[in-house]
Amino acid sequence: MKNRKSKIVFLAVFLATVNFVSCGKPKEKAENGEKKIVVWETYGNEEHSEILKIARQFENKNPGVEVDIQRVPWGGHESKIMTAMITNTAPDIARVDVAFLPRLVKSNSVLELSRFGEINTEDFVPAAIESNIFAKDGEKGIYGLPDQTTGVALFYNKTLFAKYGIKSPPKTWKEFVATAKKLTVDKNGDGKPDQFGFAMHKDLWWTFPFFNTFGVRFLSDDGKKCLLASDAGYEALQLKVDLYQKYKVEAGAWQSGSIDPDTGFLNGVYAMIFSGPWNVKRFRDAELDFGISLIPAGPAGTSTNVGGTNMVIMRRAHYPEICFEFLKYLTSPEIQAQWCQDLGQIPVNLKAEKLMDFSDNKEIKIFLEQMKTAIPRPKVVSYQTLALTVNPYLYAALAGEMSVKKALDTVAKKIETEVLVER
Amino acid sequence: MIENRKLRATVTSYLFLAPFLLVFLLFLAWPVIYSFYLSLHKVCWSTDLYNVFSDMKLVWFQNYKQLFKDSHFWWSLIVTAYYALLTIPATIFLGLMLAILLNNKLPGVSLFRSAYFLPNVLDILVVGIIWTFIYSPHYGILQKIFNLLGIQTFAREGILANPRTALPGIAIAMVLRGAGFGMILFLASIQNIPKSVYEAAEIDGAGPWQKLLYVTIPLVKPIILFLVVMGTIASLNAFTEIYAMTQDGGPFAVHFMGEIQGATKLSGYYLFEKWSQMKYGYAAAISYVLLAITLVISIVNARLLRRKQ
Repeated sequence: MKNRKSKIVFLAVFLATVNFVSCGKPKEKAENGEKKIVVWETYGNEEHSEILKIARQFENKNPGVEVDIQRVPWGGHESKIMTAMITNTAPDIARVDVAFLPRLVKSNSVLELSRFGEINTEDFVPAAIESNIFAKDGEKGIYGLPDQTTGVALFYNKTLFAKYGIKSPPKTWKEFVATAKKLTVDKNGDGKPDQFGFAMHKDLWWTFPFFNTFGVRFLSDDGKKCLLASDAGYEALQLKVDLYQKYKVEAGAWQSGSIDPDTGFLNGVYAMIFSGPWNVKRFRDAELDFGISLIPAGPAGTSTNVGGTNMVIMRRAHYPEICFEFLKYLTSPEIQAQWCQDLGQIPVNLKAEKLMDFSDNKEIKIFLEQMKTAIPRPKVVSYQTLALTVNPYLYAALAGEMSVKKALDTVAKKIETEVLVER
Repeated sequence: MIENRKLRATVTSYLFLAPFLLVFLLFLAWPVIYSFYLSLHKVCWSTDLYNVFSDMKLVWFQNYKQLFKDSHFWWSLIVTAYYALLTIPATIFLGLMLAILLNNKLPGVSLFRSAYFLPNVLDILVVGIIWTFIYSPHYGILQKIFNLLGIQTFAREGILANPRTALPGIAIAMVLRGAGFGMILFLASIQNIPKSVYEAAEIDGAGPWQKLLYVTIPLVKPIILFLVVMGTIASLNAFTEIYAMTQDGGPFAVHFMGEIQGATKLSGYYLFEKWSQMKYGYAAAISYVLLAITLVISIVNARLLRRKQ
């Protein structure tokens, strides 16, 4: 009896091992002889259901093709893709963070797409498609197609706005400061505010809206010089610092161990935050009465940062032509309209806007408007290295440990020596 | 005949050892050797990601040279040593005190033993997040207590955003989490001390303090050694608590060797940062230096404690 039991345990462990070892290895041909492409996506639950629906629609339109959608976790997707490349188990198409693409392009890990067919870049949200265009050997190429684009806008608590007699969200930074002052309140009379007008993150990505609205150019055209240490740069960062240090309307939510902006906004203690489409459903589900408006305008007007993801065709893809067709289909106006209508997201294809009904998703219209003035992130090989270089100095400036000028002067030099050149 | 039998016995022993040796070689010995090989290489921007490990550039000891000039690395070692000093003695002391306390026949002693050990079962990430809420400025329970006491020192930036208190704040959380583990080990060790030893001490006129200092502590020294070594390794590898409580190793308000440094950026976190930037060679060099430090500290610890024994 005992012997039999141990045999069963051994067999189970053996089968599990075989399964573990063989999983992830994509097959070129499906069992029924169809041409199979493997797509690694990192979507949430609702998006996953949608992409499965789209894949089935594509299969119906293209008999003999199977699209195998595989879900990988967003957190750590870069290392998973890299491990898969090393072990030759990489998918044919991968959904990657925009910040990861420069590295993939530099290392020839992804295919240039315009060789498979025409791509009309004007159809796309400018900042979203721009993040896929790279110059290699003096020639510009498109190395991916955006499947999702995000950027932040200003979220405001309508209940608090009404309570303090504020009729509309601020349109300029000047109005923003005045509004935030009205909303920063000491409710229990202990001499310290317990409700704040604004809450923000410190990191570079969250600082781009400040830089962009002041018209700061981050890098020179040849990508060899950092232009952050400029009058516009100083002014933009000074405003961010002043919100916390001078006007005291910011909650200090950027500091380690603080209540983060989303949580504070959800609990009604932060009246305004910068956030993106990913939080709309969360705030709605919490029955929070909130509104969304454009990022306050600076000397260069309103603008925002760019996040999101791109779909790329991996270098060793089995059927790159079919992969390309699938990506074209995914980013077509009809499919984008369907995707964004169902999920309340920003379409990457501008032509989808006409096909969409915004009556249920008014905020998407605002995000779409905001994205038209968004400025893509600087294209550096390792965005992570850039962020890790800049973030400590942003922290030091916000904490008042370093002047804005010194912080940006130092950071610009460090970017030129540690980020823009290979060390 | 005898030689044949001996050979057969040797082969049989090795066959029995083979499954472990295979796992050991594959998952422990090989990675240790390979990471040294890795530390002599560098992943370049143009390195073929389909072929990373064979397309890396051989740079010999350049990673080590760069490491010794790297202010962030030196800072991470200093902070790690500080963290070790904050956590190891406190964890051992608290564990021992709890064990001595719970070795008595008190009502509900089993409940307390479980209760003190329970935080150790929780994941560090969970403990870290709970403590982040406790320490939070404006809304944390600790600040509420401080408000009642009229202490306003941490009202604006809290414990974890203050460069002087961030690391001690993390250390307190981790000491309270880890003391239960030490307590269980000390308790088992104390319960193994024969009663006759205490009786002999009593006959010699020893009071409770003398019994603690001259009987209990010397006899639980192996546990102290074990906890010191484990604590050192844990400090060198500390990552989760830093990640959970101070995001990216901030607050960034300390100047060292002309650079701005994160007040809680421990060596384990710094290693992770380099690895996540795909600087595999550099990260491997860091891990080798940390390995050397761990070995030296462990050997010195073992010798010191053995000599006193």
